Amino acid sequence: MAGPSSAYPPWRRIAEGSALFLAALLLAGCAGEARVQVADAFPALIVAPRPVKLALVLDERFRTAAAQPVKGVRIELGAAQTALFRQAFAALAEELRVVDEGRLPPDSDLVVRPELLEVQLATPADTYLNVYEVWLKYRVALLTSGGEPLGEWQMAAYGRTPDGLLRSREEAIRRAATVALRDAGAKLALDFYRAPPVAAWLARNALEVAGP
Amino acid sequence: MKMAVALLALVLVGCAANTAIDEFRPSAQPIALGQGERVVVLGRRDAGHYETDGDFVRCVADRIAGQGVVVVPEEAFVDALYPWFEPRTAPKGLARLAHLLEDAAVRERFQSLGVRYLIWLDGHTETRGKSGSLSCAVGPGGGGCFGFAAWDKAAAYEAVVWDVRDLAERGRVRVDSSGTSYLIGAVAPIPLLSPVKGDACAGLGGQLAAFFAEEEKR
Repeated sequence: MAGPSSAYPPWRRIAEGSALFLAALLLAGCAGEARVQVADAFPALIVAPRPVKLALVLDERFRTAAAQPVKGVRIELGAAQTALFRQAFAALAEELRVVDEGRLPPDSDLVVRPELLEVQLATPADTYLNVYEVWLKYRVALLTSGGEPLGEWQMAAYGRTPDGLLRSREEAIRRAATVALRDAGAKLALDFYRAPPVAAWLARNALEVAGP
Repeated sequence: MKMAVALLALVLVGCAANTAIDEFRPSAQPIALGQGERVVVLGRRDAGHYETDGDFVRCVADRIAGQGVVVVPEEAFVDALYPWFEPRTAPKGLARLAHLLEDAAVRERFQSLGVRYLIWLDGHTETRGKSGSLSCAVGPGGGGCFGFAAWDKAAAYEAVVWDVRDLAERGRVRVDSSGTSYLIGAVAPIPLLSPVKGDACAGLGGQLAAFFAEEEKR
């Protein structure tokens, strides 16, 4: 009597096992997560600095921020937004100290602590448009050098890819996120000293609010 | 045979684009481009609403540069003036540009780039009026496409020339181009595309180049 091994030879088991493994590998590859690392190079801002000593708090969470706005897409924004906020505030203030969560510089006029609240992504599958769009939402808290809160305001930034053929999904999301970060820089340059808590602080300290 | 040639000629004529160019200048004087003065071609972008096609902007810039005018690349200009020519902040009128130029750092950057004229491009190309049907199939014995599809394309762009030194508008050129493209499925798909965008670029770029070239001809 022939046993099961003779009816079902080992080579066939190996072949079937290999085929299953290959299929699983392929499917896992198809469902893989797209990791998008946003570039941290931005042009210098042309902004007239104000005579203010600013301390910018960029904590660990901000410096390593990553978001998963939709399933299967992870956008790593930490390095890029750290570079952008450093550059923007270095242009906005005559003196800037960048600190992490530790002790705040006691000689600062104003302490700024940005926080990334939300990242949204719209893909052609969502909008039926041949573009990728990224929205970023920040909360910017203002503190005294002693750590007392002075107020906060929220800032939204938007970026999209140009209409047309895109090389890859990752590249498209990277470009849209970079445009959104540039928009955040533009918004800081335009609005920081006009934001109600900052304008109120400037008025209390009799500093001029002006700019292009 | 004659019938086939006539049909082919008809289709090819149908693929040509109709292009109309309108030009307006406040003065008959040509635009003066002095030593070291440059031009930049910028696409209008409105954050979240629309964006003038970057390829079209580059195409027009290349056309103007091909006529001997020195053109600063759009990306280099926008980076050098960051953040004042981003979709959110770009000046929409001459009054805003004048206000921007009150800033010494902005003025200095314009001077270092040598940009005397800004050419703003605004417009789009759209596809409409799709008709026909084309289907492709692949089987063990081979594959092929059968049917016929046609679609209309229309491009409308306007260019506005700003003089940065005199803070004045120096002219406007508008181009409208339209045409019908065909895709014929006769085993292999045969595309007969109407060069709507290419014609609009050639028309607009050539006309703008002539604005500046006239000075050199004198």
